[in-house]
Amino acid sequence: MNFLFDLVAQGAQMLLALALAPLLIGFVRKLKARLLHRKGPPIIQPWRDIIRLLRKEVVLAENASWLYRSAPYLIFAMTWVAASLVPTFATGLMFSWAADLIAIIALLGSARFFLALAGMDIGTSFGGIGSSREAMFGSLAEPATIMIVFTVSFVAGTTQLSEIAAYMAGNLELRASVGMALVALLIVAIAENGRVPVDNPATHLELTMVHEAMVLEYSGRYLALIELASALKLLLYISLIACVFFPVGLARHDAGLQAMAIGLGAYVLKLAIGEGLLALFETSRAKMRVFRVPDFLGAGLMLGLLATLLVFVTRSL
Amino acid sequence: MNFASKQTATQSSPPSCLPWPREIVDKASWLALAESLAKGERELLSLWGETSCVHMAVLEPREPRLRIVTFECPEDSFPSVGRLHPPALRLERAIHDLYGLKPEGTPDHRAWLDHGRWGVRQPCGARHEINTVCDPYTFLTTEGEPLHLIPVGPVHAGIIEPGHFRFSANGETVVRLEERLGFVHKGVDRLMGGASIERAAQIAARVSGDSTVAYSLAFAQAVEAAFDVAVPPRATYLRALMAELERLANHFGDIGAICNDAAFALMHAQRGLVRERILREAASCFGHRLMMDRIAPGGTVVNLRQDNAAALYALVDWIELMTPRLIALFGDTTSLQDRTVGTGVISEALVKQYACGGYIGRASGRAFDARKAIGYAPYPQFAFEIGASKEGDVDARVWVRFDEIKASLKIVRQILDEAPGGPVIGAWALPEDWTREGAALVEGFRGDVFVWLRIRADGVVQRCHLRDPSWFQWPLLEAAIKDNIVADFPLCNKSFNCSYSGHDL
Amino acid sequence: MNGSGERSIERLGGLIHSMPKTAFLFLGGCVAISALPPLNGFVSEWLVFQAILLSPSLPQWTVKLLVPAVGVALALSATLGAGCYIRAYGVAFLGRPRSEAARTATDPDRWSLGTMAVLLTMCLMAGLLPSLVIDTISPAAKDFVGGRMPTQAELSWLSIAPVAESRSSYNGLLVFVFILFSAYSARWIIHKFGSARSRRAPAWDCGYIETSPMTQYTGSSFAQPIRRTLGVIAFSVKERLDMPAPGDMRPARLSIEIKDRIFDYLYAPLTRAVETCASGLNILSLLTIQEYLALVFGALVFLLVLVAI
Repeated sequence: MNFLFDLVAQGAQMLLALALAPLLIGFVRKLKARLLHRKGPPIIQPWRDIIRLLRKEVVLAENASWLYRSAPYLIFAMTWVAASLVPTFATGLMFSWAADLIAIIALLGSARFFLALAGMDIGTSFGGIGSSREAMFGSLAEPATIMIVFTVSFVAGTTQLSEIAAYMAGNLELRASVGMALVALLIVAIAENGRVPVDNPATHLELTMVHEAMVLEYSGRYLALIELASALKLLLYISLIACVFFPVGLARHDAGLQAMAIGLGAYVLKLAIGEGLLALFETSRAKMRVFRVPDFLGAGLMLGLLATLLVFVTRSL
Repeated sequence: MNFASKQTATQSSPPSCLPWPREIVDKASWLALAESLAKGERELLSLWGETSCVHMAVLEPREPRLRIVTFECPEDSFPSVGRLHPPALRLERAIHDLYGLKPEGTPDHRAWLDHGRWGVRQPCGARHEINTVCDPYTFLTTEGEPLHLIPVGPVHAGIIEPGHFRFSANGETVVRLEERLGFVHKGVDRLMGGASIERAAQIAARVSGDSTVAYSLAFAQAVEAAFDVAVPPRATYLRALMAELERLANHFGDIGAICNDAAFALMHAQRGLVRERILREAASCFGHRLMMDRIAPGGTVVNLRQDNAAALYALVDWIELMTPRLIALFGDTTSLQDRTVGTGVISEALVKQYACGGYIGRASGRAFDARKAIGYAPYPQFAFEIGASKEGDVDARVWVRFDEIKASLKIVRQILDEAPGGPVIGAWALPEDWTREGAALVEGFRGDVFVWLRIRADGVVQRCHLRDPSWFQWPLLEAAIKDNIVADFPLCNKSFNCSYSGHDL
Repeated sequence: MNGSGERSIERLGGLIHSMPKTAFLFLGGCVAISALPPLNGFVSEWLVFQAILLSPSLPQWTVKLLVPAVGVALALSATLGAGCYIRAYGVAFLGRPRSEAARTATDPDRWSLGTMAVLLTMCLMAGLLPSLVIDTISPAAKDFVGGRMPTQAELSWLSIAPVAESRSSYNGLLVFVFILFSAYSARWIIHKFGSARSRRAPAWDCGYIETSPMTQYTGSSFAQPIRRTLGVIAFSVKERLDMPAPGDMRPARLSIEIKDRIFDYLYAPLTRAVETCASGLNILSLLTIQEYLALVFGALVFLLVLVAI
């Protein structure tokens, strides 16, 4: 019985992540539009787009290979698995021990690897532009993430996300290192999700794109999967920040339905707050020059390293 | 150099061209003029062809500012100006494509407007039919490190006009940029030939939609010059009003679009409000959002009612309130300044060489404005400052636009204050004696629009040449990308905002 | 590389079409070496990271401070490695062929493919069932470092947990099954309820149909952003750009000079020193036998004096 409940909770979490991710994108678009005195499309619009794309015929470039056709499924699956391993409303779900924080980050790295390859498969210049920029950003963002993971893990004594969340919830205190790690993670999250000021998700200028340039040749269901994956990635990062740094309201896996409902409410609230801040930040800034981004990410990396050293040296800050 | 008037012997019609006479020159004088262009003593204004002759308009340092010369070429070839003065190269290639006149000694033999898809060669000249679907095009070459090409366009992801840009790049470093235009060729030269004045005025108004007032005004002024038509004073004021409203709407549009290219949507939304209000006011005052076909030779088609004037006052008040906010938003957003300052720099030397007008020229230190330099009515009555900068980067081009917005607001206010009463269109008739020629140089929002036309006594346009300011701005875009990376090109391009349609004709 | 007979990466491209089997195996290798889950490279990286996470309990201060730096270096090199293999695979195997040799390349014979396949299978096994591998090699590790990890085979579901399950655990097999399950169920659902149709058309690429393989990123181009951001530290890179003015028809030119700083400042002086010595020693070979003896005697005296002091 317990096993069954766990299984249902795990399944519910996976489906919840999938269902919420496009709504999250719709919500941030709506907020941005409202900030610009526009009405904006309905929040449900990204889901409509995805379903419309799923029904469409795929137009494949003439020399697309099997890699190009299987990459969207792989990218989607890897991102989805990673996203469903991050505790959303409850910790310690059934499969959460299958992969720790490092593995989640690495899964996203794998998804990036295949996306960058898919961008180069057709042999057009824009795919190459996107892939090479992504490789440059990724080579700085991932070490920064690892440093953040180190900091958090040293503090909590584990790399297991559920355990980290439980520790953070139980030991609420202000620590300089954790603060730095939070700032670093915000930087990484903005860069990894291709948001302003690193990339502009709404742009139509091929030459300035990063993520969109890699997927320029994709259409139909493949595009839908990639869009879904990038929505899941945004959800993942916001969930990660919420679960590690603001674990308020998270239910334990054995806490029963009521606690889970509270956890769910808290989670949705946290997502909304995160999105609101993101929309505000994006509206008030212009996009950076491409070669300013490494500085931005470098700051994240340095903050992460500093945080790690602080924990190493003092153990209390 | 002696460019004494050797003309009129072959002309059937006395006064050759008004208000600036046209001279027919021999090869030596033609080449001497080309050399003086290359030396920077004069500036090239336009170069255009006709069946078996080519004309060149140059800007003189002293009065009279304009000078038009003609080289007759019965052998269908003329000494290349582009060989000595590169700004003429594309104009010569276009002349060859359309009229079949060969520029002798030109370094660039490639077609420009003709992509081989017209089904005919030299449509305004020999007109021989062809069957090719598409000509191959040789792009300029690059050497050195393994480079890759980025062909961009002609179809772009945004709703903009078609043009092809070819970058040779190593990663993000641009090694060469080459443009290929001509995708929106409409055959304006042939449409104009044989059209009535009314029809020709309509065609001129549709050459480049965002500058429709400027083109209509230039065309009307050229016709009025040719036939010596007096324009009622109120009409000159209303024309200036329309021209300034067009300038305001476009400058606000450009500033927003530049910021949007840097993903700063806030500015884009704000200026969208302003631009939309200007367009709506234009629609209620003149009956058309872009004020198309509101100017006719002899005056204007519509009059401005008293209540509309009051609404325009309110509009100017509101924009004057909004502008400082927009300026503050632009100047105080450091992330935006970081993108625009130092990006896409054009040197003063290049701007002078190309006689590049408009905000591009003014942002790089070439203070030319046809409203002041030619001083057509009613501008001599107004006191206004034209924008100026020496930086030559994207930022400077935005600031020059802001300066011009301020100047335009002032002019609009002066027009509303001072516009005299009276009729808005004068009665005029065709003289029915001989063929007339006229020319005009008018400041559009993008720069100076040049029009030269020849009209037969029965009111049929024989030849009408419309030169968009973009002819001398497009080539500079190729230079603006120097030392910039691929990702900064859209920003440079948007800060230029050249016309494809006005250029491809 | 044998299949195409071409060694320069800038002349390859599109090998995934002409050498499909090699392309698949090579991709597996790239994933493994880039330390990406679910293959073996990641398991090793993960274990190293876990070891680093234990380091605050180490007694020596220097080691303690050094370890996070090692961690960041490891993470950086892993991601740079991934970028490098994206470049290698993307330029050589993907896109369109840049030369005739690349167009006509063929898969190597069965034996070469077989070798690669065996290696890849081993990578996959080590990635999916790391517990078995760890248990197999831990006796050897015990001999070397005098300690061993807890036996992994007893843990449920074949996962690994170097210290304790509450501290960290990783289950490659489960993650792999998860990914496969998600991918296939997504595919099944989409094909069933969405659309499974597709058709081939020319690449979109902004409307201008340009078939030249020149439009693809070159290896050098792909590396340029990283070269520009990180290269400044390790190398001295000089890009010399000659862009003609508009209307000038001469070819534009870019030349890049890359100098390895480490090579310049560490190896080069060494090389120079060795060269000086060598040329000095060359003189020795011209000496007469008496002079040799004198030299040997002098050296002996010198050594004796040294020992005496």
